[in-house]
Amino acid sequence: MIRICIICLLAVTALAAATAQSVVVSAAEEFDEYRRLGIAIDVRDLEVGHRIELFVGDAEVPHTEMLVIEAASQEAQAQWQPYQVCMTDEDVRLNEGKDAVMLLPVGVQRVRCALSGIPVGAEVPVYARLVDSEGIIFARSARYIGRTDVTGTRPNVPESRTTIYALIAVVLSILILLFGLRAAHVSRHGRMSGTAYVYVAPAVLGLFLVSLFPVVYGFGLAFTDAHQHRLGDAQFVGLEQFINLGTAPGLLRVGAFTAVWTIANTILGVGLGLAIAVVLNGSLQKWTGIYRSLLLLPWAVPAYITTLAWRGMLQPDGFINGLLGTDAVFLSDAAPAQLSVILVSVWLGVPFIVMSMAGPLQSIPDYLYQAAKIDGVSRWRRFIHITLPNIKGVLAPITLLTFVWSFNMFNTIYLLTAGGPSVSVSEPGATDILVTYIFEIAIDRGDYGLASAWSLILFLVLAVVSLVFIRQTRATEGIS
Amino acid sequence: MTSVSSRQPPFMSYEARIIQSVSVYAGVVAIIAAVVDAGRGEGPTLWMGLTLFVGFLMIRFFLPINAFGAARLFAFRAATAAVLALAGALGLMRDVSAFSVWAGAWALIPAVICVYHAFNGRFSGSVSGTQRSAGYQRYRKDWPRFRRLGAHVFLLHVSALSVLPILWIADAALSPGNILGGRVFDSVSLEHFVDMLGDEEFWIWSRNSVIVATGTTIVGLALSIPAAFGFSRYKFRGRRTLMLSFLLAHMVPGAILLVPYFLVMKTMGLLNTSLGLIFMYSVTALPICVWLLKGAFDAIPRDLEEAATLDGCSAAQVFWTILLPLSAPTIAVAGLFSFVLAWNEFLFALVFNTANDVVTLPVGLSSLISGTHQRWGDFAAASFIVSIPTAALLLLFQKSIARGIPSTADSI
Repeated sequence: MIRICIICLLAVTALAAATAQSVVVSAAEEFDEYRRLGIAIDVRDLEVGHRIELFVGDAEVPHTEMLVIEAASQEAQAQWQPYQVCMTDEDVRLNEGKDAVMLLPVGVQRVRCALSGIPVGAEVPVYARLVDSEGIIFARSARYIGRTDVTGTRPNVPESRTTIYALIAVVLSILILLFGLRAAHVSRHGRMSGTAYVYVAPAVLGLFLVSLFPVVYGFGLAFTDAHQHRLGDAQFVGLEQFINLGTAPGLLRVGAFTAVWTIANTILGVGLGLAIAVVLNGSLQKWTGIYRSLLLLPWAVPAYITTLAWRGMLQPDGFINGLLGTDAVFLSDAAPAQLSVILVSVWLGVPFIVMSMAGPLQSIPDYLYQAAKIDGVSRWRRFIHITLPNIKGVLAPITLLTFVWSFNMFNTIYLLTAGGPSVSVSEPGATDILVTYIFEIAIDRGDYGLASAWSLILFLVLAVVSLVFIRQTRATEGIS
Repeated sequence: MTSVSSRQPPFMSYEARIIQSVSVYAGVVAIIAAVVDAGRGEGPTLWMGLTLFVGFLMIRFFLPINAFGAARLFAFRAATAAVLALAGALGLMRDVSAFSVWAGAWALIPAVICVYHAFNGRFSGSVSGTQRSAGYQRYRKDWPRFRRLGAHVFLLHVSALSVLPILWIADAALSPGNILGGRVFDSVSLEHFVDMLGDEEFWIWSRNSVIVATGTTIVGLALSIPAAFGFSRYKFRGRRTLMLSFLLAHMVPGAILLVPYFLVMKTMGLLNTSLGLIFMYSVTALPICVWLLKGAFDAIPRDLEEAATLDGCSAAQVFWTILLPLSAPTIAVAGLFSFVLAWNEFLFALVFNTANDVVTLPVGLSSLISGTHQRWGDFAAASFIVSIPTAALLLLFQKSIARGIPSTADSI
């Protein structure tokens, strides 16, 4: 009964639409760009759930789709930056939702779009049709023949400001370099030679270009609104990016998971690595070599490959489920995915720790253990009072390295889950750590300023943690 | 005090210690099994029961020696053995997954030991002085052996976990079709290797990777050999600062500097070029190469150079005829390190080179199983081919790795 009613209703609406022509496509020349065609779409009486499909040329699939949504949820979608550029009549840029569908707040009467990928000078027919939530087409516009004559190789955006920032960064980093050299000169005086600079200069220059300069440049960008879409006219915005960052949804969640991820990786990795190394170092004699080779075998395969292999094994119909006889979902639910990425990351990190510990463990003189044994010191106490102090020199820097590496571990998470499963649009996913989240902001959304602000915070956190750790353990004692 | 008491027979007889150790293992296994059961949605009842019994068994062995009378002790052991055997058998019968065989074994092994000791008098209980000292002799003799067995069990598990993904890659590469799980090596076909080797894209990726990795090696060595030479042979202003800055630069994570890197590459017009990646990678590899090579140059005595200079060699001749040949092994290692770094790097390649004709192997391989198509078999076959350079690195580095030099394989 209801169904029939709906169909009746639809028929009536379709009739009304056909007569009133509720969608019209016309030109919007102010939007014409190189290989982009500006068009305006006027619509009436759209409800939530309706879609506008825009066809270009003779294509059978829509060039651009728009979904009408509640005005409130539009705000919640935050700052997704779509490839196609569409704006409402109030010059508000439309956001992009799932499957590259643009999101149109209900009540908007006119949308203007710059359709990309249109050849220069070609005449292309464009028409739009309206589809309701059941997929039934209820209105169709007349064909509009569009043509863009703007030529050039790329959209004309001034590069001046980025260049200025780059120049400032160059000057600043040169100053820092010179200052460092000067400080070194004051503290050291030895045999000097000008020729040495000739040898060292190329390497230092390269290092300067790829390390010092980007650091300074990135810090500068953090105070601008640099963005993929307005590259070149970034404005100085002071601390605005940091305010954006502080009020971003999901900030606490991604921070908490980063902390859990880093600490779990460090503790499990170093703990397990140390345990394996100690057992390997025990009285297994000829077996040690065999086990060591087996433990080293993962190193024969690049880490990105083993990570992807784990992803294959953790699929619902994969190897692990077959082995356990379960049908668990590992990577698509939040908690199992978090556990899985941590365990895979530990798996990737342990061989390095085991191998780094092997040498120092071997070099502990055996008589120390013998003497302790004779004195009746228990195995655990021997470990605490002999083994640990003797390998401290290696254990401390390795713990620090494991910490820093897991903090910055991009590949593992990106390749396993890509930060997913997603919690809500434009928020960090369940397994996103800060580094993968920065990648999303920077590369997927193109928000360079915000990403730089995040990077600055991350850099400071890392620097502080490392400094405190080095102070506490003198982890870099060995560097002369 | 401690030295005297340690020479006394241990608190428990060695059989008791063995059972205790196995029970600890079995307890851990039972807990894992309970978790897996929960994952199966079967409810963890059976293995929960087992866990309780193992816990009970363990409590028994932590009690003082005379907590039970001999008859009750026998009854206790027999009951435990029966329950463990039942649990193990039930666990084995449930299904035939590899995991249930493994878990069932851990219930059956202590069961067998319990049965053996229930009918065998040698056990903790109230014992006479001679029995006690005989037990201690056995303990002295057998306990280290048993400990070694424990170490083997531990390392076998770790090794199995460590080679599991590699086994999987081999299986997926050799299985026909696109099989993710199932039985290992049940049917063998080379179709994925044929597919991959006939795939034009794979050759484009390989070509790009070879260009980038070779370029990185050449540029990296060209930058780092003179620098290492300068650091090793000269004292100059800022030497220490520069060397430390090399080390610190290695610690600044690339992922954090993604945006400035990207913009720098964009400004220099190096996006979507092999040159850009070569430049990036050779500088990334620089710190390690410089430190490695500096160590090698430091190890060559300066007398050698001085003697050559006295004999009329120019500085260049000294460098080419003495320093280079003597440090050749380290140069090879540094070169290989740069090569493998470039061969395996993922993040920058993903961001900088997006055009189809400049994609390198890591990004190409990961694209085999992203989004629309999931070509696991092809991916696994390609992985084998791609791993050859890394395996070579492993072989070359093996000695230094075994010596415990943190040989930078981390950043790969």
